[in-house]
Amino acid sequence: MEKFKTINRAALAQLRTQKRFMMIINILLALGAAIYIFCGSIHNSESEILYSSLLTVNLGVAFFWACAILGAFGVIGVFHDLYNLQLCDTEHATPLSSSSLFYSKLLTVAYLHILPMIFWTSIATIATAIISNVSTNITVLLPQLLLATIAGALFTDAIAVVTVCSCGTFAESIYLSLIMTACISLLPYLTYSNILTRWTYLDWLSDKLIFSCWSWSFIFSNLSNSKIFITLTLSCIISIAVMLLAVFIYKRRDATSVGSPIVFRPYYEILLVLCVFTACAEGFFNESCGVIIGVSVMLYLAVNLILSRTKATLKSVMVWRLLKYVAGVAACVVFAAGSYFTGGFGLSRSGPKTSLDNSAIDIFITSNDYSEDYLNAANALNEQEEPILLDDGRVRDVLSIYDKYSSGGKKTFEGFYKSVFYAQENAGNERNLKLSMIIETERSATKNKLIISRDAPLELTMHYDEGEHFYDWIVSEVNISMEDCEGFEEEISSLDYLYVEPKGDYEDD
Amino acid sequence: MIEIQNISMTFKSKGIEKGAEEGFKALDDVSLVIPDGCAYGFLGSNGAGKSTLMRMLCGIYKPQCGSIKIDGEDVYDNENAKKKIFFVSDETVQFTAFTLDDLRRFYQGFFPTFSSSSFDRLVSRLDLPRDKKLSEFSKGMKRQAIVILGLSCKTKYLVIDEAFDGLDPAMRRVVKNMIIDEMLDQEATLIVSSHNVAEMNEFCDHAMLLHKGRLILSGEIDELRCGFCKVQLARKGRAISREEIEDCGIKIMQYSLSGSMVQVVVCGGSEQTLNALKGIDTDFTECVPMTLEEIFIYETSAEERE
Repeated sequence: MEKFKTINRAALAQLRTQKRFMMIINILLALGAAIYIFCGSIHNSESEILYSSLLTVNLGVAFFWACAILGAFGVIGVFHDLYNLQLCDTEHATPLSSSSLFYSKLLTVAYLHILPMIFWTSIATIATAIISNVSTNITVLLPQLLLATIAGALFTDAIAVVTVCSCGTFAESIYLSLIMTACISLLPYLTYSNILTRWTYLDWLSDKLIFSCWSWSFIFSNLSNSKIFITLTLSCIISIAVMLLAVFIYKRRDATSVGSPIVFRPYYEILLVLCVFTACAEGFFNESCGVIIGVSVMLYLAVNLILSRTKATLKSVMVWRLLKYVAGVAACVVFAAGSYFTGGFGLSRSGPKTSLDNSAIDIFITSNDYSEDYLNAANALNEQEEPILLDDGRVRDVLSIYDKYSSGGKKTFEGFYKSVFYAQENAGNERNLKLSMIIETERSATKNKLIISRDAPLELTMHYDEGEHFYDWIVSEVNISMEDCEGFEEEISSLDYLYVEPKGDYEDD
Repeated sequence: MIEIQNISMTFKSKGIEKGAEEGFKALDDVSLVIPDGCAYGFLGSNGAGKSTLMRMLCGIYKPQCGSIKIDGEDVYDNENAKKKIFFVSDETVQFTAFTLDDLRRFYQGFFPTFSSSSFDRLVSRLDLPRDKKLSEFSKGMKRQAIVILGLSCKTKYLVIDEAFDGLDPAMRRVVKNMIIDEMLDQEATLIVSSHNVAEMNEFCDHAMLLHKGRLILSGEIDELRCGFCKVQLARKGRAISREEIEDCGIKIMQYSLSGSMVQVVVCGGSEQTLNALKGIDTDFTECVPMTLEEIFIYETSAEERE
């Protein structure tokens, strides 16, 4: 208890040195809360909120996100003893051990940034719940927004704490912190979307959230996603753990490290690896591959030159640094190859765990310019012209055919090259195969009654009782060769529970 | 008591590239003891390592080899040891955004022994404004403010780097008296560094001399002064050579000849030296006591020659 009192006293003493930041953050949060309450009071539709992502649900949220990111500057301001020699003299001469001083700074960050975020978003959430004219069911979702704001703030602060502890200069603390935040936010999502699921037949929307854990990509999720609460809580726990563990880096430092751009070398190496992987995870699968990789090489070398503080030689930069970059790219290629040859490291074999009963399927094969449909298939119709929903076994049969031709049994290095590196020259020799599936799961069935009808032979519309809208939707898309396209068409056409639209009946878009 | 044993410190080059050079050696195997209740002066030329040693004393730098103990406890990362010592840096730029009251509240948070009554008394004595930011203070006023904060923390050891830098002569006297009064009341130990050797001579009772990271001498000032003397000798007709003097068993630090007058600076007390010089036939022999400043100059020159 005595120890906590000492730490708390020191934290409050340091808080007094951050008055300006405290003022700015509280003004922005208050403004955000006011706008949030105003926007919330004029919401008329629950679905308007439910369909919104965390990013766009309310203009006031933009202020909260801005304040969450601004926290990085607050953290770097609190840990000023790590890059300012005079302040280092002052604070490290105080009668605190390094771990006590570190925890006092974390407490200062909590007082300065986290507690105001909790306070103002709570005010906004509670006030909106009281005065909003939407149904009370929506209030169940508002704590998720509150938690999302805190998760974003904690994530940014955690990265900033680790970065400032690993660097000994102000500039590096700022820009490396931002780079690290961007990489950790993007890499899991890009890895999942571009590498892991590229060669699987299913795109699991809900499972993606686990890859959004501990990053900013959760802001694109819908509030209605049931797993978001778990993801956000996990994110908060990881952020707090990372901040607490940073004490081991802080304790290794003394005043001699002030002024060195990088103090904790493993941080630097990890950052470079993350940057290379992020660039490759996006660049490989983007038609601007050359530009992305080229720019990333230049930025990589530029950062290395800046950090070397003019002591770099041509040999050390061009040979060793470039070799490291190439090694990183090679590692990424090996990882992608592993995913290709194993179907997303077994993801394609795992399959959906939920029951796929009562599914509606749409299958399209188009050319890459989308000017024509090569094939269009969906649920067969009954005598009343209503689509016959498929049972779990039939759905999985369709999926296995899709799997066979999309991820295929013919795994070759040539095929890997074509599918990894965006090959415009093959556009005329490939077709885009897209599988869409709407599943009425047990959860959605209890919330609504899904009625699927067709206004036209293959135009799917959905109607729901009571205006609620819960469903599970699986979408997957992949390029296949002309030969595979014909094989797929033949197998799909042989299934009597699917209706394949005759060729020549398509209308031009 | 502060015990410094075999302390060395090397500052490595910045940047991520591994440079060929080892870095700058700021301290080289320094050992000394600072007794309780004294006023200890850290003397040395620019870049000698005084500030580095002070920072190691206060737990800011981690010793790369050797140890620094305060009352038997290692200082670095030790709350108990650090509670006993307050460091006044030579820089004040970090405080410019704060008022005296802000700084009082800041240090009260870290030092439970902080005395508000002492603080109020000392601020009144020097007539410093409490509600103005330190950026509006003169250089001297900033030094006064930080010294007041150090005295108000009531620690057993007070370490002041460049204590009287920027103060006019009258204010120097006021601040010196203030420090002496407060330290005597607390029976505290004062460690100060300064380039003004003459001032340290009258202010401190102990001193040490650093040159290029190495300890040249340390101990009580009176004993240090007694360890050196300046002798003037004259003989008609034939000048007294350096070898003649050295043959008497005297260690010469500096020898200069002007006409028939020889002036030597020697290691040893006046009486001892005069007794040794009886073996030389001279027309005039006089021993002049040396000031600390002269010892400082001659010792550092001797180091340079070596």
